[in-house]
Amino acid sequence: MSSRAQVKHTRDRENPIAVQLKRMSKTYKLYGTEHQRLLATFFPNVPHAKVLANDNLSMLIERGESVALLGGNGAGKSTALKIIAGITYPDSGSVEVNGRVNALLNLSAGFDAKLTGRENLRLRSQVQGIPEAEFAKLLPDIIEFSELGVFIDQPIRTYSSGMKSRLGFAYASSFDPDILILDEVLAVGDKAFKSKCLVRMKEIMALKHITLLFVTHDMSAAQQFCQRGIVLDKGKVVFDGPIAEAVAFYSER
Amino acid sequence: MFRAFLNIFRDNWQWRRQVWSLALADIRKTVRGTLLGWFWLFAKPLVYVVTLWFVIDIGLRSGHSTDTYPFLLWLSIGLFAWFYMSAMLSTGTDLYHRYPYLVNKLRFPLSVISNFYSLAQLMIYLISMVVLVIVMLLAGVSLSIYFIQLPFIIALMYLFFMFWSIMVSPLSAMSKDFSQLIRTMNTPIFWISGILYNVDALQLTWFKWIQAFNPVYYVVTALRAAICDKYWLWERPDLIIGFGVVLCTTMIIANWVLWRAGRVVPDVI
Repeated sequence: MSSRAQVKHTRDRENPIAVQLKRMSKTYKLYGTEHQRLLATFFPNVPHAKVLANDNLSMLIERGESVALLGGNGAGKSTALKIIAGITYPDSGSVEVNGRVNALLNLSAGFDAKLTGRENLRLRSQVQGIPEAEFAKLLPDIIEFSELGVFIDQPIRTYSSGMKSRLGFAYASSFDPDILILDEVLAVGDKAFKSKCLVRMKEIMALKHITLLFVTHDMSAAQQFCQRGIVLDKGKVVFDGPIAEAVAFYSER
Repeated sequence: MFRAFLNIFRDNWQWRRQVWSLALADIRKTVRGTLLGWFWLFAKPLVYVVTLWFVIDIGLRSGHSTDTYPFLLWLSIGLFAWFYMSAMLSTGTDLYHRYPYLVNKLRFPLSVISNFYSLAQLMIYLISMVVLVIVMLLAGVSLSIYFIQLPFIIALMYLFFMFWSIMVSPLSAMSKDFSQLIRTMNTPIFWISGILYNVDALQLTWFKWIQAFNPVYYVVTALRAAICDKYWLWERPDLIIGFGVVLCTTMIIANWVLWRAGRVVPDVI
């Protein structure tokens, strides 16, 4: 068990290192049945197929940097972001994350369908340890931004996917986190809401201390918000440098 | 692995405010959609208790009221605790499917989920116990010095079932067969654990061996010792040693399961 991955999350927002991955690998193991997966947890010899999502990934992201992760489907971008967000775990290597992380990985998911929009917002802020006073101050703004109106007091199960996404974005973008993780968030909502999101993102990025990790297939948005680009392919870093060069590298492939 | 064990306690201490608010949210979710939500929370167990009391004490004439306490009190102590334990033995065994978004959408320690669900159930239990004690005093049944053991017994019950949930929830997350198996055992556990009748009176060797590994039996017997049968728990060393062994074993296995399977759980929910 000496190879067990090291995962460290701190609230230290002064640390010059925001995110550091060292030789981090993540394999998804695919089993024929759930039964085999259960057995495999305790007995290593159960046959399975392997998908290497992140292969010896190393990167250092300093405080205040804004970084775009580029790559085709299956390049390992989302897996890396989930690991940085502390939602899933690597198999080996190490992960260090310093500061409050706000991750918008799948905007329409992660709500409790039985609770109302307002109750979900409160619950999520409590789970993330946001002080009640801060939440109460920001709540009217979140509700207004989401454009949900009277639906805010209806259970989430009655929401359309667009409504859930709007609520998700409104919530996650309202608290200024130390590290903001955005995965394909601009792919949701109508045109008017998308431009509203872009304005909000510019406001957030104007805050000096924020570190941004941004996954998108929209190259102009990537260039607009990020200075640095990392191109992933088959779980490996294939390019790391200024955003214009990264976009050029990615587009030529 | 010992560090992992300390981590469970550290996580639950660090996230204690979340434990409290999520427990309240869980109760709110249960009573959602009904006008008399809180009323139903207690009406169902109450009707259950009265029905069983009527069947056993009046119908079958098998209640065993004594000079110091009525059968209804003895039965209620067992059943109220059972409602808590039954929730932990059913929903509590498969919590990650109840709270998928805490597992794979937010960063949240798995053991804390077991803690706050257990707390939500315990709050309902504690309220019913307060009501029971008030009714008991009004009916003229007196408390004794042995009653002070009650908080200790409830704390141990809580500790056991929290670790029980930590132990089996990762396995249920990976195999629906496993959660089905546990749910199927719910009914036999109810009937063999002496919630409705005094199992100590049964002189079957194999039956006594089952009880030696049965935490439900220990909890119910200890609770009745504090209120009805009125003796100190150390007068029954078999209870203390038996429960201690079951509790420690469960905690160690729970820690091992969480260590081995905990990091895989977000990928399978």
